[in-house]
Amino acid sequence: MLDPATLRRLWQVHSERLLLIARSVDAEAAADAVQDAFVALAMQPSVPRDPLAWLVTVTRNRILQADRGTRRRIARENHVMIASWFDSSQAMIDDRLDGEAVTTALRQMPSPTREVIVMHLWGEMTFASIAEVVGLSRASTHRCYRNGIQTLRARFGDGDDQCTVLSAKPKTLTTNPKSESQ
Amino acid sequence: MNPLEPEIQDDFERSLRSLRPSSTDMDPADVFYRAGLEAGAARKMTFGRSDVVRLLSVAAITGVVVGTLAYHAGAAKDLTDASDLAIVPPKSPSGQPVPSALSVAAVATSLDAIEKTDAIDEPETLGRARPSAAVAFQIVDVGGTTSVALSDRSGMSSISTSGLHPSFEIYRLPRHATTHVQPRGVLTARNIDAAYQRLGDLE
Repeated sequence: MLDPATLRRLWQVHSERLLLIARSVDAEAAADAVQDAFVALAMQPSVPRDPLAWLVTVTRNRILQADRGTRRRIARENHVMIASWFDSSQAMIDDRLDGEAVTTALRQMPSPTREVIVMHLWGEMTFASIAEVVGLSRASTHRCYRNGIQTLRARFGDGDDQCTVLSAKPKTLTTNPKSESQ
Repeated sequence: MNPLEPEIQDDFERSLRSLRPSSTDMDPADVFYRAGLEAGAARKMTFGRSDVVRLLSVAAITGVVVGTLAYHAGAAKDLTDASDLAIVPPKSPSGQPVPSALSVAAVATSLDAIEKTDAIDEPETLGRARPSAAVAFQIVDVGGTTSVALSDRSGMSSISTSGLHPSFEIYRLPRHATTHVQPRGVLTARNIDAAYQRLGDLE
């Protein structure tokens, strides 16, 4: 088993990020699954190579294994409030990004796009790690991420960003003289 | 390239990333106590009771320290290196001392009295005649959070003042002072080794 000091360090480093990721999988069952994952981590003979990826995998599996009925019961027992996933009290670099609005936008995204975005942006996981967790190829995971970010950018980004994305198409067309002449 | 290093992000992604996760309402003491409890149960087959007790105690104590840190980062910074339970002056989240009806000295005296009179002198509260009786870790208030970790012989655990099994009575001293969990006697971290030794003798 892991010694308490190691467990404590891992908790301090990963617990909040892990909870956010778990919320992206299932907000209602997130806290219980995260706690279960840390208990399971404590029982490991040594620290996994990538502790966060390990924790995310276990947490996600716990959530997915729990049937919907169980999740509803957990939600009732815990009186889960689907609040903002982000701290709304902080001063934002970009004042268009409100924590609650981003939470809503993420919740409206399909899985696993939502999970991939949260794992990469806030979990700081590599696409290789995320791919292992969600069971996709690295390329698919990256594509998933880019599509999700584009959706968010369209919703929260400024006009210039959207123009940049849109203007990319004609640019690529001009690189092929044949297609232009046709 | 460091394999853990995130891929390149643009300004919009960096702005998104600057959103910080909201604080967790998870109880770290629960996690750490359950971890210690399961580890203790796993080791119980091959190790002596003192090993189990030590594991449980360390896990529970660490859990509380971590829990406090998680909830009150900043206000409890001075407790980061706490190696054992200690009675400390209560603080508000802002770090200011909180008025309490009980002084630190009074709480210490109260705990000492409980240790001397209840826990060791009433071993029947822990024996087979009362299977639901608990060994409770007495956790004093640190940084404004009061947490209690306990387990009974069947492996049940319960943490925090709001999630205790109904068979336990909670004696709550004034807020920010301390909380007693008392089936009949209270065992503190300081005398738990002796209590388990007594249990071993009974068996």
